[in-house]
Amino acid sequence: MVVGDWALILNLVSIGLLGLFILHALQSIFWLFISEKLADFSPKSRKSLLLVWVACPYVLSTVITLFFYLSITGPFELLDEVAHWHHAYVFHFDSWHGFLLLGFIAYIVWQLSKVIRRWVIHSSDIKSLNLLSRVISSTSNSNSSPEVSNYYLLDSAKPAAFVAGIIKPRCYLTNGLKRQLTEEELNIVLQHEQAHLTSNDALSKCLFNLLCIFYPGFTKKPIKMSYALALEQIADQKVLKSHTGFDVAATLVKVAKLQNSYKTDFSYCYFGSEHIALRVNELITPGHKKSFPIIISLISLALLLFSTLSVIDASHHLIESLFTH
Amino acid sequence: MVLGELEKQVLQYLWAHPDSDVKQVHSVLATQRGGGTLNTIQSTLDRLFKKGVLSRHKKGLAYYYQAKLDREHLIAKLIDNVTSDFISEGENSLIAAFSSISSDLDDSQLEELENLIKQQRKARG
Repeated sequence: MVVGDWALILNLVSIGLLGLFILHALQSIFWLFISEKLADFSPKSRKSLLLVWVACPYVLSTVITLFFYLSITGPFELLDEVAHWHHAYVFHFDSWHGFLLLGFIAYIVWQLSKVIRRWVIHSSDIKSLNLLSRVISSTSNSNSSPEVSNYYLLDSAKPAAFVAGIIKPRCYLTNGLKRQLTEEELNIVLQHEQAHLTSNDALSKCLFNLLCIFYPGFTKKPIKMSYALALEQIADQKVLKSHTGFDVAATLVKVAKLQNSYKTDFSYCYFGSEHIALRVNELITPGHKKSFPIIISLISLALLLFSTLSVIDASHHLIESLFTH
Repeated sequence: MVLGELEKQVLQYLWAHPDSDVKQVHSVLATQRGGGTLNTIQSTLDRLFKKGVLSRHKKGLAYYYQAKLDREHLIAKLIDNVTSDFISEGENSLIAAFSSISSDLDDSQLEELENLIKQQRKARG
């Protein structure tokens, strides 16, 4: 048992965690209703919305922790009426708060070790790829690609173009893809990859994935896929400055067909199954899309904040009246 | 799998001259910048063998090494490794690809998309 200021800190951390889990649960329910509406927004707005969405539980749980801190220590009686915490200066490790705290620490350590392990393996493979590739200055090859910087050419028959590397992202292209594309198609592919490079999409994806670790599987995957789709569509849109949507869409389908011919070599999991069709559709029939809904977002955040505060207070009372502490 | 600069040089030599022993590798690499001593080359060959990149057999007292994969296949393997996050864990991908590498759209569905693009292009003049 811990008593005093340390107990207050541990209780506040427990409150923050409880808030974090409740917010994730509430968001997972809301996701079922709003996921289809996302398509109405422009890719940039969708990216911002998704970033706000995944950051929201962390920001709001911090606000909630601060609220409880003021309710416990401050002279604000009104706050105490909205939500309050019993035994603020006593913390038992063998209580449900203790189990919540220790479970959270164990989960975070497990998840972070997985992320670090993947990062190390990924970085090692990229270093080896760099050693075995040739740097090509693409601007010298084409007058129509002034915005495209260097890329790494890989001697492989597999058709692939991708940006990899979290801290120092680089663009990779295989000979297998390069020799089957026209100069214009190659320029489209490189400009798309350049867009990923300049936006630091690999890092952005990595951080986004980290923020998603507490969502249950049924919402985690679609949230991440929506984000990946938004990033791809933003990169597609940047190519539209120098190419038509039809040309970009046609190149996308051509590359997908080339990759299909290598299906036996890749172990497919059907990731992004809908991405190509959705991206083509966006490119050839660009309609008016909604922009970031600031007011609705603020109202939703306020609603989430107050529902979570009430749920924390209610669940605390419920658990402690049903079970011994 | 991480390859160092010297490991790359050793591999390149073995791609050009398969079935070589440490002295043969060293005789060529020693003339290059950063080629290393005989002991360094021996450790590099051992390391590559342990990483599964080289195979070896004994002739007399010496081991003779050869690359298990040629340059193109090694690159293909590394691309697979880098993109395997993309493929096996999908949403956890750390890469951003022009086309999503795996697609459940088969060729006929992709042709439909192609036709749609042509139709729309025509309709817009």
